[in-house]
Amino acid sequence: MRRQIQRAGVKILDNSPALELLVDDDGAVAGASGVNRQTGEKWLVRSQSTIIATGGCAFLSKALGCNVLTGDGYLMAAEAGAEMSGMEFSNAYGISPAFSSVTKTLFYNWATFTYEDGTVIPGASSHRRSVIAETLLQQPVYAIIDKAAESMRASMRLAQPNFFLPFDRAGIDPFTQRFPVTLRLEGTVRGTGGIRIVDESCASSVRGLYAAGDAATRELICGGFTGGGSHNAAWAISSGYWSGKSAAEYTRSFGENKTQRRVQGVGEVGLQSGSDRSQTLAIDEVIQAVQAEVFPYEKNYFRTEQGLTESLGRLNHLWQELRSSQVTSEKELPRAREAAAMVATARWMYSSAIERKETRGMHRHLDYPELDANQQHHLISGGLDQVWVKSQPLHSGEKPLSKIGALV
Amino acid sequence: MIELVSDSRCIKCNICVNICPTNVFDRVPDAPPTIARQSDCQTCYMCELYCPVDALYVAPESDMKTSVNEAELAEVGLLGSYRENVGWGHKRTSTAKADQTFQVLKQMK
Repeated sequence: MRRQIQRAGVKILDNSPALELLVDDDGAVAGASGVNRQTGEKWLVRSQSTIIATGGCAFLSKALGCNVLTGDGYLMAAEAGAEMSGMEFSNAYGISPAFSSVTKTLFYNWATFTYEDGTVIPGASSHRRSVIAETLLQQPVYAIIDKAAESMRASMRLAQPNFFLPFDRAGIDPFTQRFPVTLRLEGTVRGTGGIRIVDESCASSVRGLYAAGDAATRELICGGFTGGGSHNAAWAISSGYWSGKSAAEYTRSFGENKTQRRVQGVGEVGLQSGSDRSQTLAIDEVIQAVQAEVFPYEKNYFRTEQGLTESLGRLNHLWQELRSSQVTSEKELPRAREAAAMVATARWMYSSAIERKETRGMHRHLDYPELDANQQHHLISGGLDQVWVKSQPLHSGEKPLSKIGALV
Repeated sequence: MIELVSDSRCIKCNICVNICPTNVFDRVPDAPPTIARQSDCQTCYMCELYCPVDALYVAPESDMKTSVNEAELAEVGLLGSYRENVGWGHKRTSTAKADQTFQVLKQMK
């Protein structure tokens, strides 16, 4: 893919995170700017259309390959006025060996889950992951891939070499030896919420701004639950194609007056300095504080009205802290923006979760443990200093969110 | 986490510096790259896959540092084992073509 786009004449800026979007006088998105984190060199690209393809948000949980997914694109899009959709569907957790980052879960279909003493945990399976989460709140959980027939094992190694990598290196045979497991938050990466797209062009609600892949909501293909892998890969490719086509057509419609617009950056938290920003931003502390609200199973896997409300109070406070702080050096900018994006994401997540007073898809609400046929609507959210959530009826012809995907 | 950049194997190509998704390495003139931000390593093993001379080792523990011994790792064949398993490298064939996922999925209930 990389070679193909290079051959087509595309310039790729590696190691160069975007920090903010540019917007013209009419509020249309008109490009982006950012920085090369290795050289410190700043970049700015003016464009007629911009596609956010920054992935979801997994809150630096070290789920496999997920630490580059910190919700930056959501933050940038929201600063330009875009809306999120389905942010309550944001608590996907992947199974991994407790010591490892490898959250590949397919092969746990052939696992037996036990307590430390080897007794089988009743009801625990890859599909009933909530039993594993409940048990992990009390004690360690072990797994062994003992239901995979001898004849399957070579195929499994060829199918997913990296599943076996941590075991081989730790000297564990997962087919014959029990190993401790954990659940790592994959947030909206294997969740389905994201930037709201208004139609099959993958346009956001802001002119000139599109979203593709895990940055966009996947409710339209998966409802409130996705197993990850296949759906998300198919969505990445198809939404990438659709958004690219729409963005190109939109750009073409500008004709000759392409670069006449006046533009300005709309990024705020972490980027702006001023006299009212007296505190030094303690980025690592902010990150740990937001993780403390979204990682624990008792807060995010098993949600309650009280828990969500209390978390939101602390997250809103964190946002205010970010608001009144500034970074001490330019080198910290990408990290500061990641921290801000994670706090913003968590606030949209929990604000939406409070409004969905039922249990649907991956959103498990202990106060409302049943699915409610009267809540077959989307929850749209947005806002930065003031977060808002509103419900929106399904489009005609759209399947109810619960019919697709199952509760785990 | 990344635990080893082998001085004896490294050819200073700096591919790992460019490829690392979380910017863990720093390039050093006329020397192997340093592991400058180890705690940012997400244990994705990407650097190992791209290292043409198997000079890197990512330990399986993602949340804590461990000590490794290069000679022992080489002896038990763990240096470059992931690259070998996926068939990347000179005169190797990518094992992507031998993907057996369909066989595995057939066994799903």
